[in-house]
Amino acid sequence: MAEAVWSTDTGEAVYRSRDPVRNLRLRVHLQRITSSNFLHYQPAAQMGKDLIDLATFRPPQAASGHRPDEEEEEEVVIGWQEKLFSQFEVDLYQNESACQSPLDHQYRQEILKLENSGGRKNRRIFTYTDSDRYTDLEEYCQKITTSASEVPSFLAERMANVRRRRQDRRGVEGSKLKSRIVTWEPSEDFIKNNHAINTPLQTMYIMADLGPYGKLGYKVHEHVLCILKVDSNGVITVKPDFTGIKGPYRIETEGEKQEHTSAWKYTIDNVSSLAQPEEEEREQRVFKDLYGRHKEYLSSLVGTDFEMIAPGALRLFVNGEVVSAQGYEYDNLYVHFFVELPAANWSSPPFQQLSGVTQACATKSLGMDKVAYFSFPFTFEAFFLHEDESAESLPEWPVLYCKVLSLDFWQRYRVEGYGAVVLPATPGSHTLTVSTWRPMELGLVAELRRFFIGGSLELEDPSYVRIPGTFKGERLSRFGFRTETTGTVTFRLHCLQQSRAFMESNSLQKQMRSVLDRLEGFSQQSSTHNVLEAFRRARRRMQEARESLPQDLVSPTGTLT
Amino acid sequence: MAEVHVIGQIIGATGFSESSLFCKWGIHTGAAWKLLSGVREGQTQVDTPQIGDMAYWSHPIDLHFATKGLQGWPRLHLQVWSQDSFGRCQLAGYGFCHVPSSPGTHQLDCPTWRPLGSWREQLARAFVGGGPQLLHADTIYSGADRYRLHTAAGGTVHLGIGLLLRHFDRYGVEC
Amino acid sequence: MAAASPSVFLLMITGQVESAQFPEYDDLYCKYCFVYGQDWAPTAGLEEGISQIASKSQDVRQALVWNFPIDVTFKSTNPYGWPQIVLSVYGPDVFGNDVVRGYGAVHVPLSPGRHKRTIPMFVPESTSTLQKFTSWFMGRRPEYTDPKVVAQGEGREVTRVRSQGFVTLLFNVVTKDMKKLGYDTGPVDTQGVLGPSLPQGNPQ
Repeated sequence: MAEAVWSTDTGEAVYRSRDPVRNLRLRVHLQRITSSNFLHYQPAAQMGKDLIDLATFRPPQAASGHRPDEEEEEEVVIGWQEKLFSQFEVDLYQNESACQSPLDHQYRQEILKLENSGGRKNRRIFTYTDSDRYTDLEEYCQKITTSASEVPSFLAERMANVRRRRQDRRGVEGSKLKSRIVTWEPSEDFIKNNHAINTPLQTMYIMADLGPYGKLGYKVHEHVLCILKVDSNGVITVKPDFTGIKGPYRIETEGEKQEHTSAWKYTIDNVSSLAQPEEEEREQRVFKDLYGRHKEYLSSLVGTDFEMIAPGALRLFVNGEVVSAQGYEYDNLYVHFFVELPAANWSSPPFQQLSGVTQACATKSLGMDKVAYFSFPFTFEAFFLHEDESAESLPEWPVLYCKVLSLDFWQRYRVEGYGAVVLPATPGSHTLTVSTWRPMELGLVAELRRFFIGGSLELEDPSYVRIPGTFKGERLSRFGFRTETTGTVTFRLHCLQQSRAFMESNSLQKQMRSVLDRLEGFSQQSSTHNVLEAFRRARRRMQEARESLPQDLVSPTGTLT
Repeated sequence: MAEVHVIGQIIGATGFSESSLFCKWGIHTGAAWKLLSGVREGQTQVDTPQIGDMAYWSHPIDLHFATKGLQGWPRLHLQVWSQDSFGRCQLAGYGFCHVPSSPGTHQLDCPTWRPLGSWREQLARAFVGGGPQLLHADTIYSGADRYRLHTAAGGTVHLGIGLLLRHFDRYGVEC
Repeated sequence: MAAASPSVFLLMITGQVESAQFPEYDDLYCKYCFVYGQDWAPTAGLEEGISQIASKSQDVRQALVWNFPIDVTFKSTNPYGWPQIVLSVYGPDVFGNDVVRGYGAVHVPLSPGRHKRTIPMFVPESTSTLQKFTSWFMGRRPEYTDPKVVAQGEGREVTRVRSQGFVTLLFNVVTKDMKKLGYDTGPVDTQGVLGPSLPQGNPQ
């Protein structure tokens, strides 16, 4: 590589760790960019490796006794909340009168001790820890916009204050108020705590003094290299992110004179000591064990048995509700409905009711229409036994018939409409809207009788709605039968299907084939020829039926939505 | 056994003439079903909406069932009540809906109804309040005795329910 | 853990707290956190955040946009206790006191894909008129002691609330290993944003 690739992405990164944060170690490498650096560019990692050895064997020396070019490069390994003093701080705290707080005095002691033992390890790179004044100020003095008169919002100030607080205090406040759900008159303190995020947080700044050589120790030349934040949930925020395999970050300083302007590059790496392989393995094993046991515990709660049905059978299970009826002439509606199973191959458990009557419901206006809500539950199951696959026709599907009636003031009923719909053949949720019609008598007299006396024409056989049960012929004719279209009834059905045939088939087949096709595989007799033949027959029958009937009776009365 | 997770919210209600509504809810299942975790019934907060006429409850539901069979699939039954400024409660509607059987997210609209009573009681309800209530809550979610009732249509309760199924395919059930 | 039979599944959530509709209020900020069950743990990203203070746009839309990012990953052994996001919105009242403008919660969508959710926001309210007046006058509106209570079903029977706004959230949900563990989460939304059908009560 002839040229350095700069990393311009200085966004923050979020890490999570359950390990104690004191194990965190960072390696920061800082170097001034000169023209020669551009020519002999080495990957940062390799350079770092050499330097670690150097750093460990080199005796610590005072900052003053160095040649300029050595000063241009520095590498430090920093632990979490480890204090490295800057030249400025060293100069400041040497002076007894500058120390005010206990922390200042402590720093002074440490600096004096360092001076006696031969000076600081670090020269340009230093840190501000959580307890330093800088971190407090920085929290809300940080500018975010280019506005010259940017003032930190009350929210920024509050966040800065709240997050300083330690865990213990928060715990006490929490337990005291837990008993009441609502705090009727929140105090200032409560608001401060609750309107901001109050997860305790510790911050640390890694800084660099980028002053010209020999002029260290001025606040003006301090630059932030990296901000680290760790909260009590184990969330570690690093801004900018660890360098890793990216190129180094770059800082340019501006001085009033030409020679004060300089460019620097730096890298940040996570060099926290990893857990021993054995430890790692043990931890993995413990986790695996724990999860495994938890899984077993859960499945022991669940159990294993489940009802099964006879091989070759299809079970159709429907949870349904009569939702509503709307658009009818009279008020106080109720619905009478039943499910008819086709005669061939279908059966249902003997105890089961296949019919129901809803309550009578007074309607309410909804836009143009008057609606009656029933939310009447019904549930039924039916079995389809697929015995003979070479049979002449495709299996029929159950049909839902309904009849809407209205009650008058004297508790007499009128028929408002008849309707029918074939149950959906696919599993899942379906909303069916059934349009209904009623037999009509001509003339005013009949309508008046319907209004005053109640009662009206009824069908003797409700299955006349589709194809009468007694029908034997080839062509169905309803000629001479007058009807009037009335309102609609809405059903909601949740259908389930169960069959042993479904257990083998995989998901791809599920999409490709219909229910009936998948059932057929069971007796191993079916060939594509049979199936195609059956479809052709069915289509021919459909066409014949269509030609022989008036158009409006052919289209199924139900509409799927 | 197969497992069913019912995770979602009772969002709120529209179309009720009363304001300050709350809702009592419960889930009924058959004998083959076992509740492993979660709460089977509850009561929402009382909401007086500021915008529009929809009362919002945002009441979370999180249930984990195990089942041996399909019979007795969970049914959700609801009672909507209104509360006046003196804290008195009045029935606004009963409703029920089947918990859907297909996995995924469902927006359910559950229409409600209430018993009408005699014309005297209807008149009294219009002026004083009150009105007949059901003796047994199971009338809400079973169809057996419904034909004896004469009811009036109420508003609609809106639910957002997510279904998560496990091991039904193992027993050849398609949902 | 062996790759063959996983014992945990992952739920990855990215998205944003997009915008809000509060017809009566302005200059609002929003705080979010996630509430989840015993068997759940966050493995990456942030489970809480606080937005900037946003003001309404001057045009007809009156839009209040936060566009605040959400990015978190959970792991779990059991779908029970599925994460909910809890939002609380605050802003200044007439006298400049910082008061609450709404609480709300919604489950993270169960099925993978892109989802839009508009959730109602409400505040607890006192039944007594006197209390209402003093709380308005003193600039101390009632608040939940812990906002996370709105993600719980129990213990809220007593509270009276007033719903007064909406917040729109955008979720991108990815799950890992749920299929392998035998869970069926239903069809994946491929049409992009599928909002819940908005009830008539919503301002559009």
